[in-house]
Amino acid sequence: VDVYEPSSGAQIHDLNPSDYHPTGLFWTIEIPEDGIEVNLGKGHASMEAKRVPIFDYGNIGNALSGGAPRTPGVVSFRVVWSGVNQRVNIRNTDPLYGGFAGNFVRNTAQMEWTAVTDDFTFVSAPLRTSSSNFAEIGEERNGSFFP
Amino acid sequence: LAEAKEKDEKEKEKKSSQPVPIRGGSPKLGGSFHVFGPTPGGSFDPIDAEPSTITDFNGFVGLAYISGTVQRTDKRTREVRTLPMISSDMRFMTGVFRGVDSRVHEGTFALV
Repeated sequence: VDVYEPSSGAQIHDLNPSDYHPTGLFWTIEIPEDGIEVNLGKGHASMEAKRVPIFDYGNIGNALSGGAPRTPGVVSFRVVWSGVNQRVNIRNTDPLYGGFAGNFVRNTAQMEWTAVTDDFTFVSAPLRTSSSNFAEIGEERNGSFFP
Repeated sequence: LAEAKEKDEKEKEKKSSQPVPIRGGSPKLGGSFHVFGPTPGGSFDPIDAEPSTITDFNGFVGLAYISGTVQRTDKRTREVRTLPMISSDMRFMTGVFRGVDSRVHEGTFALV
């Protein structure tokens, strides 16, 4: 989750669950299965989790490379994907970007969230006030499951 | 002692069932971070780039870059400010995956 200073445009909060330098699973953490709902036919999905442990790194540079102190905290969020702008079937064999296949729906997403760190509390505006510049949901296979 | 041993075994089991990161990573981040950022027009990575951060995975995924506003309260001074949240990368992966122990597990993960 990335929060910015409006006057300068500088990033001032970068909340993610990874230890730096995040060379293993990237900003990825296990959450309860019942927090996810997916209906590809309707172009709908949702993700909800509560009190996920994170660190506030301040900005992405510090999140990737360390160098400045981080602050522990927790974040709770609800993300909702909806609509069908485009349906795509991808079989990507590109040696850099690929190695997976699947069916995807490109649509829109919105989010509401709260967080608490040692220094700040955060309460987002309601879900309906947020917007996405890219969103997709899908069903995919990669690695040893890649056909 | 039995309780400590059980806790230790559960911890070992949890570690062995951890997923494996995808190979490679976005050139925009130097290639050493195991994530891609599919974007329309390929402004970060090509739109058809891998959205999952987990390899040996078969399941549902979701990805979104979301913007909005957030009200931040300073716990010390009680100052309240409204700040922009810009293109926060939120993803989920739920399904089966082959863990670091090479066995197949079920799991649900979020990229935050």
